Amino acid sequence: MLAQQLFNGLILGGLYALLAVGFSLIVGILKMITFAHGEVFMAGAFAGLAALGLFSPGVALAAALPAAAGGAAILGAVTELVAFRPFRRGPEMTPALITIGFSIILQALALMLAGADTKPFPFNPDFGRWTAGGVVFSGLELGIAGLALAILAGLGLVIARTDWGLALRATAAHFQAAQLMGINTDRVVLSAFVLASGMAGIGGILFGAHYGAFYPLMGVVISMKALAAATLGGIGNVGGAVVGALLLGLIESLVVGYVSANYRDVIAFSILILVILIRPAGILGRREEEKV
Amino acid sequence: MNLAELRGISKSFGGLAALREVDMAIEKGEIRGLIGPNGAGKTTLFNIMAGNYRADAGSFRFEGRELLDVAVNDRVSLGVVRTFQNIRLFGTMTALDNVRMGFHCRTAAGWLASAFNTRRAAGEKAWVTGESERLLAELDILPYRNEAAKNLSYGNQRRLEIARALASRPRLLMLDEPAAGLNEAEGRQLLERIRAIRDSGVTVLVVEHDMNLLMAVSDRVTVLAHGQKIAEGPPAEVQADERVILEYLGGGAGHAAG
Amino acid sequence: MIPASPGGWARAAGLALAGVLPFLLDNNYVFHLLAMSGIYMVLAMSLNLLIGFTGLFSLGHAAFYGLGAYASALLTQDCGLPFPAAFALSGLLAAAFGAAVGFPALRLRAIFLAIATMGLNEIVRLFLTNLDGLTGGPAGLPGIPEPDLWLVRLGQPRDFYVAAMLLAAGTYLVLANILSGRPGRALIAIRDDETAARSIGVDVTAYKVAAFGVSAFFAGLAGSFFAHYLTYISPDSFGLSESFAIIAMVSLGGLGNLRGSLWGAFLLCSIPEIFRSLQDFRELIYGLTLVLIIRVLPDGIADWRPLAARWRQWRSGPGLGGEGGGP
Repeated sequence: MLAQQLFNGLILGGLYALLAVGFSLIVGILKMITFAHGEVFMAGAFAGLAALGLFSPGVALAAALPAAAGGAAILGAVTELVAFRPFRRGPEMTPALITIGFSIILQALALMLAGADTKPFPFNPDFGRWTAGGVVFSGLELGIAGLALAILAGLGLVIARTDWGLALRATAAHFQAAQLMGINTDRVVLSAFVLASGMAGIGGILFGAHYGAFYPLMGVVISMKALAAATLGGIGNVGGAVVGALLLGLIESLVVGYVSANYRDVIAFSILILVILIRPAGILGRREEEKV
Repeated sequence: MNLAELRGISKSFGGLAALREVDMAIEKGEIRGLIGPNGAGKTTLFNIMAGNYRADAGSFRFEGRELLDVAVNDRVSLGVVRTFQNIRLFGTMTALDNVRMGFHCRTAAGWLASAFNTRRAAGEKAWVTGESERLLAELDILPYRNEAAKNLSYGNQRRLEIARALASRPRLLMLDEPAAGLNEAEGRQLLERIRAIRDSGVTVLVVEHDMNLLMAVSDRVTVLAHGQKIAEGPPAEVQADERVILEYLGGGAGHAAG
Repeated sequence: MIPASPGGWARAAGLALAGVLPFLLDNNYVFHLLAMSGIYMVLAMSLNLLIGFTGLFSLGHAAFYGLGAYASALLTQDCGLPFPAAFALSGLLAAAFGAAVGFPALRLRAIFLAIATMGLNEIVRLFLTNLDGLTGGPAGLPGIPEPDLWLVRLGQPRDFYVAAMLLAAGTYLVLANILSGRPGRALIAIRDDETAARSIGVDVTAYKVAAFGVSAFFAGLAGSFFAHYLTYISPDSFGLSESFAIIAMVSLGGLGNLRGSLWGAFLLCSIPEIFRSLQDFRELIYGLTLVLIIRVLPDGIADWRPLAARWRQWRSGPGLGGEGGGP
């Protein structure tokens, strides 16, 4: 029972992580936030679903991932260009309001185009099922976990090792200084949005596969959870977001297993608020001293 | 009689000492200049007095009252009021409203009284408006009363900030580089203005880069270097002080000349 | 209030005319629409106090609204309180809750405040959904009594139209007085420059808490009115999307423009209804409004200067600038 809950929690945490690192990337660089990330996730899921329908099951899975990532990435780029780029120096409220508008528009469009009803996964993604130590693993779950892990590890490597990663870190550390050093910060920000959104899109199609459900509001709750996870890990800190996401996934599945499924969301959001109030820098972060 | 007395003020930022055991006594009715090369700690001391920074150790007695644990906004009602080097007005508000803000600590209308515009609140409002216009006129910016503060010229913004500070009826007015960005004529006007403020009974503390202006306006000058007080006295005396000359000519001259 | 100028008289006459107009139509649906507009006017104005005038980016306004609605419903249904008492109490309860939220939230940077209030909105909605015994759970609370004001009993949409307009007018007068008075100026000072506000004697903490309290108070009143008007409430009416809708209204009218909030609420309530075919597009209109207004008319529909400036810039030739951006 416990082992099974932990395994479920890890899968959930992996899905949260794909969104949470995106929040952390964006907030880390811009110190501003997008409220459309959940809808980018949803749009990616639907783009993937559309691709699934176009191909035979064998090819479909290979086509769904790039479709989801690509569709979401385009939306991410639009978000950056329309909501953020013109307002780099303005109050942080301005882009946030525009992204709220985006999120409402994307939900409404999805509702109009796809309808309110829940779409199932078009075929049965059965890749076998094994039992070990009382825990049931399905091939699909292992695939999801593996893919999420690979993407997150890849992201970590890219940030740590590549020139782009260096430019990203420099921009996050000090936007103006990075600009003065000749870094094309606009390009860094755009690529961060593309990357964050692409990961959200993959998260969307994996979520759809895992729960066998696609619906216009599918991004609402999970994006708030991911935001909670990113905050838990110290928003702006990509590694922290992964830790926060896994932790939140574990806590939630334990709450579901041992307390009540009704209160799992309450607990997630309570954690969010508590962390913001007590340790805004997150569990891994250091407290920043306020400057006058 | 001393209006303000600082004793043993120390402050460090991340292990780096900005101020070490600084004492300073400001007499009632004087204009006190505070100078020092860059990094001497004068801004830190200024911010500690105004309440924007917290001192690590020491005491700040103002009219016999310990102020170090008093919040910034409460210091204002006790008579310690500051301006800012980089002018901090309420940009979207009109010039008149900016000065009205200065009356905040001298008025009492609360939420309920304002919500129903009680007779007292209305009376207070009328009084504040009249007084604010008087102050605007005094600083020669009455014609701009309905302009948004952010649209005023630089010189007028400086005046407006002083008008706003005066509206709170300070007993110690702390001016943070009030001449920064002013031309020579404006600087001379400012000098007269500061003297007039002193003559109206307000004690003034000035931090200033412009040595000529500072020496001309101050009754006494306190010199800081490396977080410590190195000299204090009338301008002529301080200018002749060996340590001051050493500090300013040996390395810090460029900054000091401003 | 006695209008002081010819313009004031003209405006008062216009308002009176506009107020009478629905009676000529005498259509229940129109009355209903206007009653709902009145409720949203109160919500938009009260939220504007926070995000427009004080600069506190609160995304959870529907939480206060819902709290007022449920408090009033339960106070009349379970405690047998008369409507006027429940109405006042639900405002006060929401205010207490708002102040309690405001207190820890003050230290937060804008985006953290936004995230925290968003989370709070969800928590409130989840509690309303899960506390079945008290709130009726997801099914909601039916059979809330219609307002009995001793002398008059509100029943017809027409009555509610009049009452909602009176509520909106009262809220407007009170908030306009506050904003032109000492507390309101302190709030705007905090929005413009918190450090400077503190340095001129404003107790920033106290004013922010009070702003949250007052804002929540009016949202609570709106909630109470809504509950007794529809006689049925459910948690779905008080979720995040409701908060976002109110934000769209505030933005449409202009952040920091109190009268604009009246227009914003009225327009966003009525546009989807007037063009019936647009009703399915209600949410879409809200979203588009937010994006377009913030991008094109950041000071709201009443202020076309940004657009005019853009037009001049465009006419004077391409090349420079391109993106508009802030001042």
